Amino acid sequence: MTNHDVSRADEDIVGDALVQKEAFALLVHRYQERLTRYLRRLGVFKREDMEDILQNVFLKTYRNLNEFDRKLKFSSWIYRITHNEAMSFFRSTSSRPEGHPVDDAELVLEQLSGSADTSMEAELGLNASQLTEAMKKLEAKYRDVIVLRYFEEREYAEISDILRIPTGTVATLLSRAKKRLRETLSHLA
Amino acid sequence: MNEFESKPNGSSEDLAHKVLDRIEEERVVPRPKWQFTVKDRLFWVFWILSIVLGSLLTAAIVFACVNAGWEFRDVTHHNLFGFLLQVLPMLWIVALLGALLLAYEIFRHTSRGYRFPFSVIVGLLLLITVVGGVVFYVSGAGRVVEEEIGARIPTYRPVMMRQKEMWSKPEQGLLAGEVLEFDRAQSLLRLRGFDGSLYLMNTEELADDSNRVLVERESVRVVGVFAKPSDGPEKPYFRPCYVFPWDVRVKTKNLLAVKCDPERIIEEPRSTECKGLIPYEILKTLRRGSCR
Repeated sequence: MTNHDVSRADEDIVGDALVQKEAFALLVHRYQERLTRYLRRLGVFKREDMEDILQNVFLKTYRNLNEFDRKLKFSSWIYRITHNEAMSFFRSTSSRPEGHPVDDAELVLEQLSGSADTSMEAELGLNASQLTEAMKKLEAKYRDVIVLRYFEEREYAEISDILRIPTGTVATLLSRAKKRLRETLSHLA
Repeated sequence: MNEFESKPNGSSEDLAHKVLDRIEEERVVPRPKWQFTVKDRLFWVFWILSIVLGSLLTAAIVFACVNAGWEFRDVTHHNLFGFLLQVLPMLWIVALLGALLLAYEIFRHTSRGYRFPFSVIVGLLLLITVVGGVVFYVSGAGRVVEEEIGARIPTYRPVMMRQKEMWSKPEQGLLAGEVLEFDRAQSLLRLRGFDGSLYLMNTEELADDSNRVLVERESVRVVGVFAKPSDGPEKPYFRPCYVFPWDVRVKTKNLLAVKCDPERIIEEPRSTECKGLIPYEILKTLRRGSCR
């Protein structure tokens, strides 16, 4: 990977990949780690499952490169494909394991506390494992927005594009999710 | 850290290679842009079709409601609920809801449709459907859907058919049909009801405006009294008290716009039989109201 490759926008690489498939490898390099983390946060843990899903995501992305709307962020588009692929995987296995965001929980807890009126962490004496426990108890629709907003650090508009819901709905879901999370955390504290 | 992620940089290379190998082996190529363009356009075509369908159904609902016989609601029904239950075109209403739901889902699945809130999409759909419905109603498409298409649906009865049923209840004082013969001098009326029955009536006590309707119109509504003599050889008969044109909307308006001749605003029934007519007071009020 050259310095030139690193500085290039995803959208430009999409154009290249349409002409020369080898250019697509650059997008795989860029997104593999992020999407792996995202899949794990959605509840995919087994290495084989993760690899299968990721391969499918990248193949679908490649096959549908011409569908990419340049008015969207490429990252939003590939996150959407990943989210849909993960949901298909959960449907096919008829189960959705609980999320397991332990590695980032401390950071997310800080963000959640900062967005609350008072510092939950200090007030309730919370820790990362309690947040993980509380996340497990959230409904999937709330967990999805929390993961995207606080773990993946996506903007509202990006979450809207990833989950294909209006921005207002993103805000509503986030607000409810945080409220429920706080309630659960206060019980756990 | 996850095993898959924890691999050194080589894992990223591995995945890229694997993906490129599969692209090669499975001969995966990017789908051409025109396929996505066609798909996108098809969504919009189906969306427009569902909107047109919704507008046609709205026009049919408007036609059915306008021609439901509101003028005679107090005469034909005891309460508004019973009237609405009988005249509302439920088939079209349910089909309209289906068309709106379809239009909503199609819009949501267009490339940017998901960005609009539910209230905005529904508001937009209702606005377009209502405007389209009014346009179709004015152009006569509402009547075609209600009467011609509606008549071909086995379980559906168009509004005029329902009105004919409403006015084929002589025992309740309501009768409608075709005037076969009217002899004003002899005060004799022969009428074939919409249910096919033949009636011979004595019209000597009808007011002038009712007589005029019988002369001018081919199809009429008659409000009267169905009498069954308790004994003797006489057959049951129908005594007409009021006659209205069948074509309610225009003709009744004209009928009610008669000159306010004080002689017509009679407080008493013209016959002792008509006095017992249930909607008599309502009809009397209806006439008086038109003379204010």
